[in-house]
Amino acid sequence: MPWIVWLFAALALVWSPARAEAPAGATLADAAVLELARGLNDNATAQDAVDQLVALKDPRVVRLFNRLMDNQLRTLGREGPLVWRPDDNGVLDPLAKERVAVVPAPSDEQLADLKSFRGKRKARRGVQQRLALLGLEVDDVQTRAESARSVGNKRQAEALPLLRQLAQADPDAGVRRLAAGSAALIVLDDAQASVGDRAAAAQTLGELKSIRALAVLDGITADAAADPAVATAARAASKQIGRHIRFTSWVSNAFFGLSAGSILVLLALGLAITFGLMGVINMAHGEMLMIGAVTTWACFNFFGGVLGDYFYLVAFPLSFLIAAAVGWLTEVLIVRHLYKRPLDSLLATIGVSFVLIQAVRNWKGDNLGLKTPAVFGGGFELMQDVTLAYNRLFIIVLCVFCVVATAVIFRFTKIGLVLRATVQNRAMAESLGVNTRRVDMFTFALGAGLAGLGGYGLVLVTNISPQMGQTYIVNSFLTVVVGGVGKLVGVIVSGLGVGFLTKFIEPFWFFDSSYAQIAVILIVVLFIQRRPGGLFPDKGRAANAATGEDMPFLTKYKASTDWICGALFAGVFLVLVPLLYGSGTLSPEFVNKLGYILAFAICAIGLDLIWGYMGVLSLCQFLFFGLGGYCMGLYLINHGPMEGPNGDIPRALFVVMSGVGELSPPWFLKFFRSFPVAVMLGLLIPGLLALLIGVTNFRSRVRGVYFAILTQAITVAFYILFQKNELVLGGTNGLTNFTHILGFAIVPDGDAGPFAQTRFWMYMVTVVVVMAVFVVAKLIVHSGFGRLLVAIRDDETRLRFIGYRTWVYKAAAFMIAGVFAGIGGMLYVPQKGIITPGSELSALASIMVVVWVAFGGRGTLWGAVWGTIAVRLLYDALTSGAPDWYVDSVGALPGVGGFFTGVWSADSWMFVLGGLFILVPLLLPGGLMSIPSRLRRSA
Amino acid sequence: MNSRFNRLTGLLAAAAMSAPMMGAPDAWGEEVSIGVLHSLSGTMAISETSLRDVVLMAAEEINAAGGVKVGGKAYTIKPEVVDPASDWPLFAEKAKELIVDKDVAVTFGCWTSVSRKSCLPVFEEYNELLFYPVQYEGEEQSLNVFYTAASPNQQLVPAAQYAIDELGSKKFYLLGTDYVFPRTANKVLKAFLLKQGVPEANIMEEYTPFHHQDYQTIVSKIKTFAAGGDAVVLSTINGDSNVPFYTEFANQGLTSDDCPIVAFSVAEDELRAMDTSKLEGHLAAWNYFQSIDTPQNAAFVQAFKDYCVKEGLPGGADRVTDDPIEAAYYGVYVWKAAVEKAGSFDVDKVREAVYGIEFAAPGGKKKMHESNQHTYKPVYIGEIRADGQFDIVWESEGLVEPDSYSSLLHPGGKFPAPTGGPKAVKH
Repeated sequence: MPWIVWLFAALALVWSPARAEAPAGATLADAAVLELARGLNDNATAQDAVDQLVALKDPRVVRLFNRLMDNQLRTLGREGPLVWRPDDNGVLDPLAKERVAVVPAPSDEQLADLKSFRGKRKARRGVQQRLALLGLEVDDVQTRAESARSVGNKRQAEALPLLRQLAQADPDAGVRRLAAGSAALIVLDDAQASVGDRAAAAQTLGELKSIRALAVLDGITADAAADPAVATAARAASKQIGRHIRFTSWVSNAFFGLSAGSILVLLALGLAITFGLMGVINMAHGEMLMIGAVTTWACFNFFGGVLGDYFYLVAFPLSFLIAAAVGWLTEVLIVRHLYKRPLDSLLATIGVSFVLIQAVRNWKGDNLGLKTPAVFGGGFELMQDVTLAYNRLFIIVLCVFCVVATAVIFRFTKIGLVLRATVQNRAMAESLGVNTRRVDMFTFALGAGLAGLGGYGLVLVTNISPQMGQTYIVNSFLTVVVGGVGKLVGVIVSGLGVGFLTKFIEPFWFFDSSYAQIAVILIVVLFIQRRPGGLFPDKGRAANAATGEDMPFLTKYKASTDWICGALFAGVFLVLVPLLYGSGTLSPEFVNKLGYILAFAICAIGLDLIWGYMGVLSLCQFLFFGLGGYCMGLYLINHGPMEGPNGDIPRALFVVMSGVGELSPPWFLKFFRSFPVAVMLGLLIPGLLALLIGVTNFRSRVRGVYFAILTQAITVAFYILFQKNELVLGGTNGLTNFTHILGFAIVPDGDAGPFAQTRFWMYMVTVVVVMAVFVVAKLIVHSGFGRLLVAIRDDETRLRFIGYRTWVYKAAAFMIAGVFAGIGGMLYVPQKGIITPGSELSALASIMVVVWVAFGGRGTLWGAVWGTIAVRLLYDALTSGAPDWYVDSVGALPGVGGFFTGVWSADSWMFVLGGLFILVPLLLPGGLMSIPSRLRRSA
Repeated sequence: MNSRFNRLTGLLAAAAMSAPMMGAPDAWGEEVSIGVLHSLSGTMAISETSLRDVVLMAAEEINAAGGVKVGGKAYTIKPEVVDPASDWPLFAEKAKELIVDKDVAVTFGCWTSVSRKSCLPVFEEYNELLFYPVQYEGEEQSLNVFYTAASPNQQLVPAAQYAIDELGSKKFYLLGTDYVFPRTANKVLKAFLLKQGVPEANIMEEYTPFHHQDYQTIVSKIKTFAAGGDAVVLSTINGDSNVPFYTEFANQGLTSDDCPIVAFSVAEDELRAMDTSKLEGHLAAWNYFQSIDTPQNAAFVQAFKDYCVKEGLPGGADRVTDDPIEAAYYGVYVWKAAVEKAGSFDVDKVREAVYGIEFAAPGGKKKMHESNQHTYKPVYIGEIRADGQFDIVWESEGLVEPDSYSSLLHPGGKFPAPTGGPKAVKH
């Protein structure tokens, strides 16, 4: 709009009597003006065109320029006439004052082929400067302000008289300030101006706290040749402005923190209900957010045409209701069977999340864009240089609304009352006649609905995609845990706290946003260690789970199962696979694949030890695996191809190091040159880190879900850290280009027989190590130490009262698990050929270890092994699409063939794997290892 | 000029598209498998799915036009699609599987550098070919990869030059996601800017982690940095961080007239997911835009939309083409032409045939480098329009020769030797 107002004012200016003697450009025909204007779109003529048009001093030109800057000019087809298109319908005369249709009326064909006419950047710059000069005298305040700023930035000395006038007499304070600043800036930057004027200008700029003048002032201060009087004034002004920047950045940071915090609260509020109150480790929470966001997108897509920006109003209830409905379905179909087994809910909800992601992806793809309502553009200027963005203000309001609404439901409604009663004492509530089933359904749906509203709000700041939930899940859990599981008020305080913390840490010069995140995680970890129950410790269902009252489901199996599994394992992997490989039936690639899958199994055995037997869920098991892997990777790159001027930089590091002057190998590389030392470090580094995590957390009695989420946060910190190039660990590209291990070439030797290949022997070593690690784990489980671990799981408190220092045993077991993972990682890397932070150190990788163990059946050790093998082989097979034999046989089945080939495709594997993750805990509690006992029972 | 190109063997994309639909030449029954190695799930699905689609489209076109003709026989292309699921090690696994189990003659795939690094040793070990269609940080030259997208000197340096010459920029804010491409890109950019006489104090460098969502602090820093005017942001922000960044940028009151953003990782396909009203007037540097106004390109864009509609792919007729999509598409045609020129699917012969080959891509004529595995390409700077397309505001004069290793980072010109290649050459 300001352009329109400006237009009329500019008209007045051009027609003012003072300029009446200007050449009578108005006589130039419309066609000639338009012909000149065409030159704006050609780099060669752009500058000329601007000058000639300006020289016309013609109101038509002013109108044209304004329309150009508003991006309202089009041409009909590529070569066709220039038209004005102020909105989606009009095709108007670009020079006319009023809305006049062009003559002759354009054909439908031309209308379908409107090309935007923006002018080249050179032209736009010229036009903008001209308009800025004109804009100084316009009625509209905003235009005057913009113009006053612009002429100063461009140092348009011809504007000085007008600027001085405005600085004195403009009714608007903002314009006065900008005009004074611009005038001073022009004078200060003009080496011809007198010393007195320049010094005064510097002083003015200091008093105006003009940030844009800072570079000029500092330049003068640093310039030895500058006049001392000007330099002194400049130094003083620069200091004054510096103080202003510090002050405003504190104010801004406070708002940024509030905004970041309110987003965290909004994200975590729903989770605080499903996870905090109900104890479901709801890994599908992120997808509930995604459903809310996608619903908002759908409203835009389906109703946006009719409703315009009001689609956002419609989306408000819908995003809540649809997410709530999905949550309700999840509860009814899946979650309600798992209340007694909260840890199994982890596996099932991961399945739900897979299915929801793939469903949305197959429905509308990954690119879901929408135009956010115009009212959320721009911001509110709180004070000079502090703008509060409207979209963020809205999210704060939305957050307050959700919090208040939730509080009202909980405090003042009947359903809230029975809900609290159910959470506090289910049995008592039931005996008092509360229908706890209905309460559960309602509560879970409410949590999911709130998550949906979170997604609804997120739409204003980020993009929408099926994958988006994964971005927020870690932070949401962290927020709930810091607040204290089971207390809603905790989420609010912790969300805001973490938000403020992040935003006050990030601006420090020695942090970038990566290190800021790591620092926040570190602070949160230390905080939880001081207060292991979060900010507001409570006893909800999850709190009970944390104290071990809900015992995990365990499969009882006979000793004979051990022997059968052992024989099966040794028979298959130690005898059968080598035989088939030697005879050529199994490809070397498949044996290689089995090799690294078995390396995963070692990692899983470690997790089973602490999760299955000791009852401690860890979400950083794969971190230790990765660290072991990096140690082995560093050994391998020491003996791989080298680059660099001195030929001493491993190729994997070369790309992150290449550049002038930093071409010497990193200091730590030489420690990994010798194999035994590298292996020792590969055991020590994960082991010591595990010990550190174990001792600090277990000693301060961090337990249950608190511990799980903490370990996940630690994983994320390492994930971010290892991506930094300055660590010289290959950055995101990781370590690769491995050629030799212990002097043996890893790449197969075509001339040698199958049993002379290094990869085969790496496989064999892995099989033997799996068996050795298994035996060690078994011995631990059956030792007195192992019994203590089980006792810790069953009742740690009692054990402590008997006089055991339980944290010592827990930390020891945790360290052993970490060392196992490190061993697995060291075996994995040479077989796989690469290790990267993105895959091996991600939060998802550690969650997947839990999935393997849960799938196989925890607390059985064998379950960890078989679960890993089963899930990984399935994952590999499903992501490849169906092989020919499957398409030929199953695909040929009448009626259902098409369905079954469709299911096994690269586009739908997440349905299958996700479905299995849901079905196993529902139908096979106890995982694969419970199959034998089930068979026995049914027999 | 035209006659020179007319001599080329039959890889003219436009010609293939306009050829009548002849149906698969099943009379011969010969098949050749090609691997398609793009993530269809996980974080990269948002970008890579379109590349899978366009490679399948190219294969279908080639089949309809009679297949790949080698030794008097016509081979129907059989694409083998796998999903490496944005899981880097899985790329190596899937590459192996394509080569060993599916016996593919060539593979088209990868987006992120780490995914390429993951499967590169596999392609070198088996001496197979990968066509890689995404601009990247350079510093690599494997005889088993053809890089059909830009090296840094074909995208970054011209854009920086444009900023200096055309935008009149004097202050540069290098902002990127914290991974290898932005880090190396900014090293190249910084070296270039310093060489151009931009003082170090006028160059800021800043990184954010993957999936970073909160750009409040950074935008407020940019605002202070750009307050005096003549500043530009050179952005290598990746993927889902772009929307939060541009949104925040607009909402704190910065416009493309105050401080333009020149992006190196935002193309038409990403713009589909963004509210472009906040991006209008900002810039991007690429080697192809959907808005390139030639009949060949119009036909390509239409063919892609039609293909998406026909296959019932999400987005349908709203789908767009962009630089990586074009590069992925003509990669298939380059391979076909090289195979037909070599008269064989043998990798070593095909590799030799690719060197120096000239071809008509949808965006115009291009040429493979004579030795360094990369592609001669034109460079374009485009301004984002409200409809999510680009207005081309600058283009290079002719094709720009690709670097494999950046001469800005290795001033001595001492580049590492290429890796991989025929087995016999390796001792």
